[in-house]
Amino acid sequence: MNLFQILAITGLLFLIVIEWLRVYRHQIAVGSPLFRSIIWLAAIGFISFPDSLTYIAHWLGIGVGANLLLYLLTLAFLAVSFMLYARTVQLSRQMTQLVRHLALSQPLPPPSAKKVHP
Amino acid sequence: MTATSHPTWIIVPAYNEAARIALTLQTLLPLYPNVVVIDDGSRDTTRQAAHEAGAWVLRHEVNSGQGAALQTGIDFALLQGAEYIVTFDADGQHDPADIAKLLAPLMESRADAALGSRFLGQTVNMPTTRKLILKAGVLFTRIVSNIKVTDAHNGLRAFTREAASQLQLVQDRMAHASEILDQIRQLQLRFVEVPVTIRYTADTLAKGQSSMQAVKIAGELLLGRMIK
Repeated sequence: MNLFQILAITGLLFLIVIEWLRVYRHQIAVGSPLFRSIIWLAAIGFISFPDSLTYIAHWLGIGVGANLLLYLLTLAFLAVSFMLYARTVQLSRQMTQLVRHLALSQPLPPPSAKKVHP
Repeated sequence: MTATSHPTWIIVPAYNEAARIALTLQTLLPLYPNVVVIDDGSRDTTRQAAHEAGAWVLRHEVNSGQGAALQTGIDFALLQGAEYIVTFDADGQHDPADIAKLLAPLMESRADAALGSRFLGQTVNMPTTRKLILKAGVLFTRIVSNIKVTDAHNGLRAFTREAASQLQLVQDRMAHASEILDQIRQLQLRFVEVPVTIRYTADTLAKGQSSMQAVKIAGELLLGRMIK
């Protein structure tokens, strides 16, 4: 095992421990840590056995392991981009609700109006 | 009939319209006393100008988009007891005389919503590029929203109270026009298209939608549908 493998695997194991410590302390639900842990474990597997990526690439008909990694990273980039966009839209909608609530609570009646609604 | 007992409320979303809002309101208020301007975070004196002209004014402290402004206006009009709600652009493109034509089918219980159509009515000074963009919008709406209209992005519309109270716009920005049509179809509201007149000026064209914005709006609508 080379130095890169030792450092990378140590770092990934550290991330997995952090994830599950937070679950253990009831700071977060199980779903997301479980999903991330699967990703980190897969990364540990591919780093520990680099030929395994090439083997899977061959099996999928891609050829080179590095190409498979590139395709996976591209797909992951698109997925993360969409998730971040969705989050931005959700936050924007929440802010709009707040803005609209404030607007409705402070109507400015016309100068001629005698009664203020609502 | 006093102002607040008048059954019709006109909703005017406005963003940086200080130069034109007073003139628009001067033509509207003598015909319809209940006008509410939603100042959508303007950086100019739109709020002041609308207030001095005699309209109700609601202020979005942050610019949230025309869809958000319309929903705020609809909610306010419903709180005030509106029986009919009309959406009207702030820039003076619309003709207040067309409102009566929109309200007629609602008052006769022939429809729940009346949608203005410049292509059934007439346009003044509409550039060819704008016409092409709007026609592409109509085609897009027919495919995506599965609703047959001749003008998908006309800001002049009228709703009965029952119809307006069912609308829930979440597309804050310009994609709301397609969203309204989506909801009309989903809610199975009865609608009619009414010929109206749209007048373009150099000012309104400068602030209108470009081809790239039209593409952006289509993207917003499609992506927005995927997000809860």
